[in-house]
Amino acid sequence: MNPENNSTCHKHRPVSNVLFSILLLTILLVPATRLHAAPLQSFLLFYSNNIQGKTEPCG
Amino acid sequence: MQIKKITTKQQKPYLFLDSGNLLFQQAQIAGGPSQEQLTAEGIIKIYTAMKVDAVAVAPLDLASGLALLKTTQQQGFPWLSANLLDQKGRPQFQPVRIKQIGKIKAGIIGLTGALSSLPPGITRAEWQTVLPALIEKNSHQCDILILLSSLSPAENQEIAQRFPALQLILAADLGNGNMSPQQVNNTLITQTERQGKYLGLLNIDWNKSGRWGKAREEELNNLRNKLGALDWQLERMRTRKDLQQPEYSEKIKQVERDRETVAQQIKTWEQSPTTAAADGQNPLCSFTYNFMALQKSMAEAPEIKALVTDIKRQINVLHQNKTSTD
Repeated sequence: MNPENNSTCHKHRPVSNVLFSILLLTILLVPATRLHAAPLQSFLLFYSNNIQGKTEPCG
Repeated sequence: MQIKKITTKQQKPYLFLDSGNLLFQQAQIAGGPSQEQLTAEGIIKIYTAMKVDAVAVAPLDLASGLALLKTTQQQGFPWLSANLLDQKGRPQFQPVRIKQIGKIKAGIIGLTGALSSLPPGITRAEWQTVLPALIEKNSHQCDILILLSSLSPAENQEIAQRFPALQLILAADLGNGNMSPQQVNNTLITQTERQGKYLGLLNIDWNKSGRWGKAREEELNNLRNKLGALDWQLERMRTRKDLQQPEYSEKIKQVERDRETVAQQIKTWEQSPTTAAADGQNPLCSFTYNFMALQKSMAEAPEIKALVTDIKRQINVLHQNKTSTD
């Protein structure tokens, strides 16, 4: 086992622990509704009908 | 012009749909060149320039037969009808059009209402025979299903009750004016006033749940306010001295009819289940709506203006030719 490698690994562990904690906190604290709040898609629908239509076709 | 202005401002993708009765005022017109025929051809050109996404064939569109519809269909005009069939039972028009709007897929189905007489060579199937299979097939591949329908209001209500996978019916009932979206089961039903007086606009926030929510309380409040305003208007009208004038009593009758429609809409909303509770994972879909009054004084896009001028010119030439031959 290379002692140098071991020391590098120890240096990175606290950082990854912090990142993991942040991720865990985000999942636990942010309500599910907030995570899903943005709509999948916002769009506009323009519509019309009977542009010329005046009389009932079946009387 | 209105569409361009709004979509530029809101920066959202959009659809432009028409439920039909687009071309003619009456169920039948005389054959040969006529003002009606030129106007119909002009409307198709204008709608093409406006990049309409789908137009359902409604009874009055068949007033001059099939030729104009077939020709323009071949040129790419997006006519839809799932229930106008040829003698062998094959659809005469495209039954469904699928359009991508941003991240979602919209399936648009067309259904044609009852006619007193059909052009030769076509039959009209009842919706019960064609719609269930279309909804079954397309609800799996589309995020939202929209029906463009010139069926009767009772038929539209029945369809809404039967098919929760259909989220929107845009109607073309000649007996109705602007109809604010009514939720029946999981379907909104709406339409605009006839003769192009208004353009309807739905601003939709779509979610994976595919179920409508939120708008219920908002809609009920709006309708209750509207009812109050109509009651106040009626009270004022009834105290006027010229009550006996036939013209005036007709106005009162109209307001009474509007009041009845609003009262009915309130009843429908009150009876619909509260949709406030989403399933957590997939929030409900919501909408706001608006009927935009269209006036002749509104600025037209130069391309549309040129088309209107050309249609007017052609009509003038037709009249001059008729006068000279008489």
